[in-house]
Amino acid sequence: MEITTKSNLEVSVVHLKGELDNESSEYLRKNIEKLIESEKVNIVLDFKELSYSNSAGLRELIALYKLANASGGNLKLCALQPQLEDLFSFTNLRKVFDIYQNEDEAVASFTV
Amino acid sequence: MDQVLGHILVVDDDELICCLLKDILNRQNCAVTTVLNGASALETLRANAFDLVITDVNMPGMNGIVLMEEIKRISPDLPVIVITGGGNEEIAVKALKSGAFNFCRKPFEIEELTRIVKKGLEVKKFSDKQKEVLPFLTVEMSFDMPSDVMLIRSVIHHIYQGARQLGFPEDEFSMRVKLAIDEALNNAIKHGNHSNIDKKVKIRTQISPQKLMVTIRDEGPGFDVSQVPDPKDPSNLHREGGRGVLLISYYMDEVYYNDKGNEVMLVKYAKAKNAGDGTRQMDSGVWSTR
Repeated sequence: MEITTKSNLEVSVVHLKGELDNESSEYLRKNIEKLIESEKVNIVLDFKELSYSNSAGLRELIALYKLANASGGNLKLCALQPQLEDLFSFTNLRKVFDIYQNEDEAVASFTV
Repeated sequence: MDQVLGHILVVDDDELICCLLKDILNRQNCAVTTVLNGASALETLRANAFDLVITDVNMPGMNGIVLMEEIKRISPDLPVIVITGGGNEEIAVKALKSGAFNFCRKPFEIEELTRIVKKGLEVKKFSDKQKEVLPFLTVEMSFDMPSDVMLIRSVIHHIYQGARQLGFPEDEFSMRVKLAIDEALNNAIKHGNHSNIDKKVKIRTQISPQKLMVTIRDEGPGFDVSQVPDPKDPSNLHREGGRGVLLISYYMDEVYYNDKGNEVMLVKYAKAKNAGDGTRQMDSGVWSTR
């Protein structure tokens, strides 16, 4: 999985490309932990180019969501592909995460 | 005309080239349909059966390389010959890398063109002949793998290749089957064998064009699937784990656990018989999840 991050003063957008599985979950965790350690606690995960996630990926997302919240921030998702929309709907995880259509909406939600 | 060697679709925005190719190929006992652009080609291909496509690369709108990639999505086995301008080796290499059967340079050398076309028709005929036996074929695969989650991706890839070879629908596999196998293997390795590398996970796979069946057994004590907490319950939503069993039942058509609970059988039909709804039934001594 490829991860690219862009940050401004309020929000960091983390773009994920590829698949979220056992191996890449660990890589994602290290990236997000680094952001939170540097006090960038408002995070958007952009799923536009994420094609797959298994339950290890979901587990990691929930752990990172809790970590961001515990640090006084939030972790939001955007641009889910249909197969991931289906996964999040079926598992009721839409009730856990704030999910937006695109990056702009997700970023704007932090300033409202 | 003697017995027709094959039906060929010619795509070129130049009507003169279309006429020329039609004339050359008719003389070789080929039936020829001509169209002037990529969109018409795709429409014609969806409505009719062809044995080969010849397409120009440089066309307004959809170019020949993009058209070929679209054709490969519709009919992966249909040979496509690409026509390039003389001396444009780069385009020819790109076309071959994208799946072209061969390429032909302008201006045409009739002998070279007919040789390439006949070879393409032979390949198509051979591929059609092979397909005749597919409905009666079952491919079996076995893995006895150590308990290492890093091997899961490779195992799934092998199963995917087998399924693809037999024409099992790719969209069914890409998310649903892949995810269910991924979850079942993670369960076997992490919860069954506690990631003990000395303990094996046995995987038995049977794939036919109609049905895919994967049995996964670990060396652990087993578990009672009916005791797994429902991760969709509001009180469990923030729990990090416990979704694997649910996802398996959601994405497969049938799921069976043995009495001990250390073996699971996943079944997916090429055309889904019934979508998984997560309910569980005791059926002939095994747990089934439908």
